[in-house]
Amino acid sequence: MAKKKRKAAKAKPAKAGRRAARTKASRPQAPRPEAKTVRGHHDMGGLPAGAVKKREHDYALWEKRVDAMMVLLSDRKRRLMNTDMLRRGIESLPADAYDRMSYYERWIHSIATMMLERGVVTRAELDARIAKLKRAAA
Amino acid sequence: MARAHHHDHVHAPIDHGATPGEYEFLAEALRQLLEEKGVFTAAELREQIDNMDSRSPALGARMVARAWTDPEYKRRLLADGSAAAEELLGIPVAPLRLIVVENTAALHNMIVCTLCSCYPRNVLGLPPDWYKSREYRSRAVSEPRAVLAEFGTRIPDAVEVRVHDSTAEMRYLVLPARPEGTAGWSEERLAAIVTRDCMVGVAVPKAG
Amino acid sequence: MNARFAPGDRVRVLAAYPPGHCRTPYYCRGHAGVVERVCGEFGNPEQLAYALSGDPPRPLYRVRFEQRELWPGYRGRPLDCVEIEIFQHWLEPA
Repeated sequence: MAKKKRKAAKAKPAKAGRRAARTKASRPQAPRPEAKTVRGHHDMGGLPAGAVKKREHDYALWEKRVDAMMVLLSDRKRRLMNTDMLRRGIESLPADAYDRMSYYERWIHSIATMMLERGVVTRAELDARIAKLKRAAA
Repeated sequence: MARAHHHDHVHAPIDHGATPGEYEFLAEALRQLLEEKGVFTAAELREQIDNMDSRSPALGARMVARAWTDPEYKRRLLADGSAAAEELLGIPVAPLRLIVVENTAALHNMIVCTLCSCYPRNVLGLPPDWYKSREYRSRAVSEPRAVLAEFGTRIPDAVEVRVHDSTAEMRYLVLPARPEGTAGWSEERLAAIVTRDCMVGVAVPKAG
Repeated sequence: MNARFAPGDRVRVLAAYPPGHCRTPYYCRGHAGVVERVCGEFGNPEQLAYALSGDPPRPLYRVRFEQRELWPGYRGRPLDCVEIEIFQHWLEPA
């Protein structure tokens, strides 16, 4: 924790003792134990949770395409993605986004992030294409 | 692009009418750009979708039924799941590295991936939503018997429950115990009672 | 393969909480278990996640933990267990 900057004080002999006492009391305490153990939001084994909701859904075409893209991008021919990059991209999501997003929404977010990171596509290209698709869908 | 959409978690409102959601646009934009840049072709993408569509629990069920009727195949299956899968199914399962774990009178196995959703896709198809849910991933490792009970599966106290957390490279398939009352059944008839849930380990096959 | 541990060895997972991607679940860190099998050698996921090579491949083990050791007040048969794949660099002798 950074020490707070103290303004240069004019000598005030009558209050010197009190100032010294204040300074000592404001120094940081011993490190909080809980700050040492970081738990990723995805790392949920053993956490309390409710009953398992046994819902399933038929995968939409766009979801199947995302899945297929991942398989192709991580095959020997392309080696642009791998399982751990996909996982890392998902694990990097803020907790509320992680919970809100569906499974393949998290996947495509991660894949797109990795493609940007690797320079395979640019934000300008993605933005332009998304805008074009939205206009066509409107 | 309307679709039936069941999620077991809190979900931001999505327009289920003709307009795709934000991430559908992103997916489509990326797909088009990658095809235009020659990263893959539309044909390759279609072929992979078809490949995944051809994978279903029926594949795993055939492996189980064969193991139930052929002790030598069972031995090979338990020794090297991927090789035995390819041997029987005649299709590649790579990059799947499969470990098959056997239920016995003394042991019940259950599979989870607490960190994400690792699943033996190439012999079971895509995993169900519940397998990927917070509730299953959190509780399967710490209270498996309670989770099993929610699936209607009660394992006696005398039987050990062993949970496999697929954290890294391996994927797991449960070889359920062959139920009583199936003597003399054909492999097809046996395979028909081996459900996906039996091979994930949240259910047991029933002869009736 | 130069595996440090063999099936039957008692091992402890490091109680470490490093930044970045890893595949060792939080709930087993600091806990002790028994090596059930050596899975083979694989690239380090902590590096693969950042498009690095992950070399050299290192042994991956399946480690069996007793539920009663992992969870205080575990309800269920005392010998219920969890088996987890853990990389060699996360393990020390117990």
